[in-house]
Amino acid sequence: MAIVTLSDVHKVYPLGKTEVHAVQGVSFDIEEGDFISIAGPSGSGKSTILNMIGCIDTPTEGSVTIDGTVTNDLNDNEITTLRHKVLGFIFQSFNLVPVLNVYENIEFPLLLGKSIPAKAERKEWIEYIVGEVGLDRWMNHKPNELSGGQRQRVAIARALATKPRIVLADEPTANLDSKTGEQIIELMKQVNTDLGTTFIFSTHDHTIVEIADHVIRLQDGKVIKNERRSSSDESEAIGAGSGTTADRAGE
Amino acid sequence: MRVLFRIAYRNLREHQTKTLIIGSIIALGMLVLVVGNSVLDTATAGIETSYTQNFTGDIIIAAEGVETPGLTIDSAFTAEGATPIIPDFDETVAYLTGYDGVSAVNPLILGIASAQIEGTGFGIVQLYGVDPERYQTFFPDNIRLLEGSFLTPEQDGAIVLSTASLEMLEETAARNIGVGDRILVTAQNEITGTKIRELEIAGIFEFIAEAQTLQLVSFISLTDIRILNGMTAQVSDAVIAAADFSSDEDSLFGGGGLLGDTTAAAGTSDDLFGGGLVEAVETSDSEIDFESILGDTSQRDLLGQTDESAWNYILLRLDNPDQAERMVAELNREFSAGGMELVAFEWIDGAGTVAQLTNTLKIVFNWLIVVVAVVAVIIIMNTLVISVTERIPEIGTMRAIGARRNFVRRMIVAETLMIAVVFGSVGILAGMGVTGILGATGIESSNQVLQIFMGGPVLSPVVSTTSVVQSFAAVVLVGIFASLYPASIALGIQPVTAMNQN
Ligand SMILES: Nc1ncnc2c1ncn2[C@@H]1O[C@H](COP(=O)(O)OP(=O)(O)O)[C@@H](O)[C@H]1O
Ligand SMILES: [Mg+2]
Repeated sequence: MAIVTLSDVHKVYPLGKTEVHAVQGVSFDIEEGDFISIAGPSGSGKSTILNMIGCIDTPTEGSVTIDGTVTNDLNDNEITTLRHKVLGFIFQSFNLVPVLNVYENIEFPLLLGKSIPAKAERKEWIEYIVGEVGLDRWMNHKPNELSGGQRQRVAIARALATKPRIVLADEPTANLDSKTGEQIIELMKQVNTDLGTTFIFSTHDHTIVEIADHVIRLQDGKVIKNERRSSSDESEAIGAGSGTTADRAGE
Repeated sequence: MRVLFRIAYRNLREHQTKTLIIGSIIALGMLVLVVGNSVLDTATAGIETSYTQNFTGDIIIAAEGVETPGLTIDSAFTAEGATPIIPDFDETVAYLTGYDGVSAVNPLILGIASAQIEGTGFGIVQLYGVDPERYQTFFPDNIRLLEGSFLTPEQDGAIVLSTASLEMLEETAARNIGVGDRILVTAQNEITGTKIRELEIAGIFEFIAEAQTLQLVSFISLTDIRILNGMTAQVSDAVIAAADFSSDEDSLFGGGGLLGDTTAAAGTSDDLFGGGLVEAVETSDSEIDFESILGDTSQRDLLGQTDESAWNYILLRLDNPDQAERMVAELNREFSAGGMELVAFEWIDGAGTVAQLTNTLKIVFNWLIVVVAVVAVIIIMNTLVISVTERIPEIGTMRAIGARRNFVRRMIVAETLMIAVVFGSVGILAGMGVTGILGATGIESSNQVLQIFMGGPVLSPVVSTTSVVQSFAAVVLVGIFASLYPASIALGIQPVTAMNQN
């Protein structure tokens, strides 16, 4: 069963007296363990879709199902719990808590739950993920003492702290130079392989899209290509619900 | 939950200047609150001890109809009409003596008069008619005898004069006056009109406690105060008949007769100290009443007989003075339930405007503090709103990664409470320190008005527990109130705002 399912999702934003139809009938499935890129030019609706998968925005029409739960009708606390348990977030601007050091930033989500793991247990796990992202020697530093790439590594570690099944990353490389950006995506891919975490990231950078094994390409709020690649680099198109799949498949 | 305080603390440290400014406002406010309330509490406690131990007892019982027991000179002047007499005195005393929680009982008659010596001089005396033994048991060491002796039981025609009245008399009469001298005391009452008694000075005293409003109190033998007040046997029962006498007098002397207008309505000081009266009536007799002029001796005989059970007030001393408020309520309930025509007051009601002023001052001071607190709340709130606004993406991020609304609320409240409690405590401690220093050195004043508020010429304030507890409660409330609005803004921050950053 798919871990994420969007079916006929629409999102309309009011804009002054008119409306912006940011997402227009999008449907797709994401399988657990996927490393997915949501690609498309600026304004194509990538962020809007990621926000709806991340349960921080709600569709105007259609439904988003996360791990078997239809998210539309959950209340604020239920949604928050779902986000906390199932989802991890990586932001374009890193969004670390400035007054907390690296260790504390990574620990932070662990302290938000109903059952907080014991201190020793937390320590062991945090040290493991800090090792994964290669920041062992920066544990006691504050975010403003780190480079952009380092900050995004902290953010990745923080997103992994609660052992979520899905990590969402909206243009995680947009504020980084291309070399650092690639390293970040490679790190994410590494975690995806090591821990089996599903990664969904958006980007408008072609080179980065290449690393994904499943690409959903958007244009003007519609899916124009939904393509799963096997590890042997063959491409395979998956039927997209909106029926707009193959329009520009040859891009 | 430690993470909340960690974040709150570091945010406060991060914005040091802002924190210090807000903190100083809070600390200063608490300092003023503690010092002010400690000083006022000490003054109030001093006044309370001074009054209850020396003048009023813990509870004052009067006859029904009395609105304020006029134990001090200011209330004696403002009182309207004659003070009613306690009904069924002996039964009442027996009842009160046996009352649970009452440890001592002391009856009192009050009057006010002018004094002269050998036709000259002028002094005001506030008269306390007391049972000497009972009084001195009730107030064992409230006075200092400078000359002579206190009243003795069954003594007649005697006065124990206060130094203040004595000085007034000596100055105006331009001669020394001492024990053994005889003075002429003139009073007016609504029942039998003007009365003059010649009294021998048995002693000269002063109250040990400083109380401006009691400086003119002199003790007078019971028969004499009753005659001066018109508390005679028949009159106690037949006030109306007595009232007829006064109108007779009025008609008699109304036409510019012997005494001019000095017999007009009694009780006003102008009449009392008009000065014409004593010169007009030259006498060495100890009592002058107008009935003798009328030649109606039978009336004189009747009126001359004082009512030995006529008293104005009964003061009560309690086993536990802290119970006064409760017991006053209880007594008043039982008085009305038992059909007893009595009314009970707390000591403060009889202590006159001066003692009450300190209470009023305390209320005014605390209202001022409330105003200051509101201003402080607004300042703190404003600053917090700014800091919440600056942290919208941060708070949005926390919400996005799993912080519930409640967490955000507690984070904001923790920040405000931390600043309020930490700086508030510093202010409270500083206030305790300042109070301690003031207590050690003592606040001195030669200003009489200030002395009234201070309860004496030197005030050594003691830190009052209530002021510390109240201040702490106040600072916590300020913190909570100040965080309500900023917290509501923070609660409105949606997780999606974490994304809208560039
Ligand atoms: N909060 C919003 N209010 C109004 N319009 C919005 C809002 N968010 C996004 N849009 C519009 O929706 C469309 C899709 O935006 P977005 O999902 O941010 O695209 P992308 O992330 O691919 O750049 C754009 O036209 C954008 O202007
Ligand atoms: Mg975007």
